[in-house]
Amino acid sequence: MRKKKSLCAYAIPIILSLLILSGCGEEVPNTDIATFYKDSEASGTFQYNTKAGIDMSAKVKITGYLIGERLPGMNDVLEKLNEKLLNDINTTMEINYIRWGDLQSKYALVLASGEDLDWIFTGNWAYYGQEAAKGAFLEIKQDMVRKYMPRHYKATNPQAWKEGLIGGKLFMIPTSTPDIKVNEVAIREDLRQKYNVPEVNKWLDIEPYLEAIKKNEPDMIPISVDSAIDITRPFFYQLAATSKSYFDLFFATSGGSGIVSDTDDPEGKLFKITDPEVINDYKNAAYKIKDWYDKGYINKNAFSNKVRSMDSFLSGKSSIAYGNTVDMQNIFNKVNEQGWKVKIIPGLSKKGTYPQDSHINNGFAIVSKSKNPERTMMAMDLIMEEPEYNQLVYYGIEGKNYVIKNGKIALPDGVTSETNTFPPDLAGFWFVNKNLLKCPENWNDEYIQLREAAKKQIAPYAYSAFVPDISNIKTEVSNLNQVVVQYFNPINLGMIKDVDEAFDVFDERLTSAGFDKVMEEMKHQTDEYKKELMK
Amino acid sequence: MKSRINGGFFSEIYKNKVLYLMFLPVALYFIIFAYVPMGGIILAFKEFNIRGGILFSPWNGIENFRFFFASGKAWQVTKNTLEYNVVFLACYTFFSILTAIMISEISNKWFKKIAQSFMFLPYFISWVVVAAFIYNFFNYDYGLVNTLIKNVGGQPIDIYAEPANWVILLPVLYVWKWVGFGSVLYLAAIMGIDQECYEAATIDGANMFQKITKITLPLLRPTIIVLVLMGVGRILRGEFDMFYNIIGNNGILMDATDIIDTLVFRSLMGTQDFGMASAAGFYQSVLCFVIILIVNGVVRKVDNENALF
Amino acid sequence: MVILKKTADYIALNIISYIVVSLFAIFTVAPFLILIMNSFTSEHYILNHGFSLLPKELSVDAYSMIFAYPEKMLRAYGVTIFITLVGTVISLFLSSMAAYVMFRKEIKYRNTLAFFIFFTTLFNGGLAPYYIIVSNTLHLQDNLLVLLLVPMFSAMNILILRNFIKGSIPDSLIESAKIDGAGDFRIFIQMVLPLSKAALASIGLFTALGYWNDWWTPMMFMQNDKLFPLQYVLYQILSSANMASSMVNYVSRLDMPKETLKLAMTVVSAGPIVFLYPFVQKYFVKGVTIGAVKG
Repeated sequence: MRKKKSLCAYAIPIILSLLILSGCGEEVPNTDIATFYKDSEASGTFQYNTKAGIDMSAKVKITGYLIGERLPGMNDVLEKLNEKLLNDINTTMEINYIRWGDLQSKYALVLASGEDLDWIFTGNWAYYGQEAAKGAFLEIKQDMVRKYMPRHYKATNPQAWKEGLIGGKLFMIPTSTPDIKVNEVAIREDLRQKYNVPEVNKWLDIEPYLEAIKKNEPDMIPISVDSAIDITRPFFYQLAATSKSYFDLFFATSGGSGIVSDTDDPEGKLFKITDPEVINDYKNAAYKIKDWYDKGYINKNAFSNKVRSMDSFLSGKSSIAYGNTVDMQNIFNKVNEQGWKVKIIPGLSKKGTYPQDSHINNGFAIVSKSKNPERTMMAMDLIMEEPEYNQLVYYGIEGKNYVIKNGKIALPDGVTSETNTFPPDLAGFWFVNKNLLKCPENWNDEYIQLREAAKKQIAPYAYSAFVPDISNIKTEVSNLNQVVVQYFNPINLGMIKDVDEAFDVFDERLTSAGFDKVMEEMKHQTDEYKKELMK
Repeated sequence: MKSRINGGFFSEIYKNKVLYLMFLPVALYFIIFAYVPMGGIILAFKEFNIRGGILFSPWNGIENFRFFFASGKAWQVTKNTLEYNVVFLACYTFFSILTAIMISEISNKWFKKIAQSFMFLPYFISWVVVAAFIYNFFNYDYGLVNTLIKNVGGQPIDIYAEPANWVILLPVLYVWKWVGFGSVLYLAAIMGIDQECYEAATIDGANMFQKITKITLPLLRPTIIVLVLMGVGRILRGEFDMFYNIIGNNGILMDATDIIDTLVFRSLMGTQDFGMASAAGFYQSVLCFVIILIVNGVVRKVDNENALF
Repeated sequence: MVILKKTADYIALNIISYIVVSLFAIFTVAPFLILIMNSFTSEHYILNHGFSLLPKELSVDAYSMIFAYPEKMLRAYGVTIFITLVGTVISLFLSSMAAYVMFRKEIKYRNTLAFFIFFTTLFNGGLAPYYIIVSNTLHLQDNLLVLLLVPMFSAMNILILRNFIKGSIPDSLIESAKIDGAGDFRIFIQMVLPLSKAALASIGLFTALGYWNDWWTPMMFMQNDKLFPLQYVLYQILSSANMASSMVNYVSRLDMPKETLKLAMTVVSAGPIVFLYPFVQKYFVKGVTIGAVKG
């Protein structure tokens, strides 16, 4: 068996970049998504008392899987959780973890093995589509949700239920609060001032800053990206800023396909990257990036670099940190220690937008072999939507893992973020209703402003929640993914000798990997999907 | 005599029941942990779904194999895998024997022990760490080597942009990591050689070099053959961790450094398909099987006693 | 004359050997020394300048992170040492027994048996069926047994053992023992085992290393953190260090070791077992002559 051991040893998968966490008691902005897709009515009376009409005489134990590490404080939290669950719905829960490094190899196995299991964390980035297609998950019907998860049903935008549809069927319970975030980039404002570079307010202003850093700071690399997460970012920031924010249709689910659409296009017209309508946008970005690469603005060996741009930035090695609204919190927390000034600018499309996250980014699915789907839903309803539960699974035990100071979450005296046995965000309950959570105390005004700004920048994207069904095109999808990695990633980094030639080769490889078949299938599926959402 | 004439399966078992019983624990282990799961190979010909599981999922013919052959890279990665492994196996065998013989000749006990212990150290350095080393030494922007070159006024080198570097570097790393390990086996074999042989040779006036070529090497032959055959049995699998961690997804180097395992890994990253993974594994197994049958057959012709089976 | 000639080539060979072996030893030990040194360097320095050849900005951050919960590490060492010891002894005994059976000429099916074992290295059913059988049919999940069983036998080790036994024990020896009335099992215990010390030592070393370095089995089959072996605990620490730094509300300190952590992990895990090797070397002594045992 030794041969099979190797995959992804010690590596945190790329998907990390897709999972983004945290929010707290904020109003969800009223975007025009509801008007774009006609709002369906979420009517019916809610059963606030879950005990009504449901037989709960039998004591039931349910088992679930989350993604992440089992925290040292988890046992205490579980004990408390079970106390409450037992009291409320005569149920106890056991929670296992699939660790980050093992996700890729273990997620599918756990589901395939027929283990005694009731629910599992899922999301479009966490193999929701792939596993639903294999029949791993129980189909969720609206009336089930209404009956067993009344709180969650009420809290969730009706849109969410449609987003999770695969071939007209729903297999997961999406979160009620998708994260609000846009791409951001942090620059060293102190250095910018020092070298008299004109102010940087948007991505397109960045070039003089990079030039100044290159010229004056011999020990710094203007942009240093890593091989897993930031690798394509310089290119896509540039592409979006100069033209449109093109997203690969398979971006969230399985990597790359070469099928892209403009996220601002409500119709979501699909293109091949090398189609005449879009290729010039791509080439222009590629010329610029290649120019930067050749001038030494971008690190030369990104494919082998494991250090993320944010870490290089914070250690003073590079002058740019890629991130998003949510993880920029790190920057604020840390630069104060350095005595630097930092400015954060968003990485938006030319139009000034960024595609909104979908509800199915985080959620859970009931495993098709579960013996207790009803009780599972009831327990999860409490965990997701009942503030006491919610706070417990997210922040731990009051007094031990957190205290409430001025209505905000703070660490108890004598506990530091390193000694806290249940640090927030790490336990894996990312699908809870974050609007019910209290905000952490350490958020500063600047950060709060950033979050406010992001709310205005996000815009609906026709396929934010589209999950392709690849059962008939597995072969082609696998091969396209590999072609994108081999032939498109070097373009993204400017590592090629000749841009035009590289695109020609890329186009050729896409075609021979079966692009047309996938495109045809995707056109069909996206049409169906849009129709479904319109219903 | 009698039983040999009757020679049936059961009489053979009965006759040597103690010996067969002694084999039983290992046999059971391999049946449970290898042969029963081996049934999963049928997944290569199936469209896996959870309800049906491994046994009852519908068949889909050779559909699962298509991705590999339609990738347009099947031949290239098969060739790369084969070439790298042949070079690895040859270097590994050569250097393991060389160091084993030299260590056995060294007279100072302490030097011997310490040198051997040192040679074992790379075994503990995972490829992840090796990759970090290479990156930190050789990266273009601030790698140690390039910093030195720049300090003396030279032009920095970018090893990650040139496939030719890796065709040399990878075997070197392979030898570095595994030779300590390999030489232990050959050393053990050398230690097992009857000293009387050498004494007789000395009396006949043979010098040290003659003893090595006329006694040590011939007597190592069975060990060499068995270890090489083992290596041949894995000739289409590869040191995935090494390629994955050191080369990663570097598109520039890929044509020269892509092996079957890395191609399959990259292709199936998003699809999570058991059937397709199984199909790729099956392809490797069948090729390895054919190759080892041929090689073992040749060995059998030449040296029946030392064939693997 | 004879003696003089012998000395000359003896010296020549020794000089060559010393040079070659020294070079190779330096080539292997140097990276390890650099590794140890850099594991004591601050993360900040490494991110800015890469690895260094001389100690710079000393720091024990990586180690203090690994040993943040000393009792957990202690337990992990305990589990690892236990499975390594017990597993190696059982594995070595049963493997050499099987190898001995395949060596005996009386066994008509000995080549079939060798093929039966070798075949498992060629074909395997992949991860899914293996996982299902171990966790659902055998119910070995969260059981210490799984850590012992999964890495227990390697086809390669058994076949190498057979080969060694074949090379060091002449058939005549077995024949004479049989004439003396020794049973098959007794021949194995009293003759084959003592005569195969070097082989057992080297294969035992490989088996022990296999157990020691095994993080895959616990990754697949363990949820109970009380039974985590060393390698897996380290793997977990690294993976949570990577994760934690991407978490928003988790305010870690600026210099969260990640690169240095990888290095320190190597030191922590290799440290104790490196000392096993000199112990094993004791059995690599020249001059085992068959005659000595025969008499």
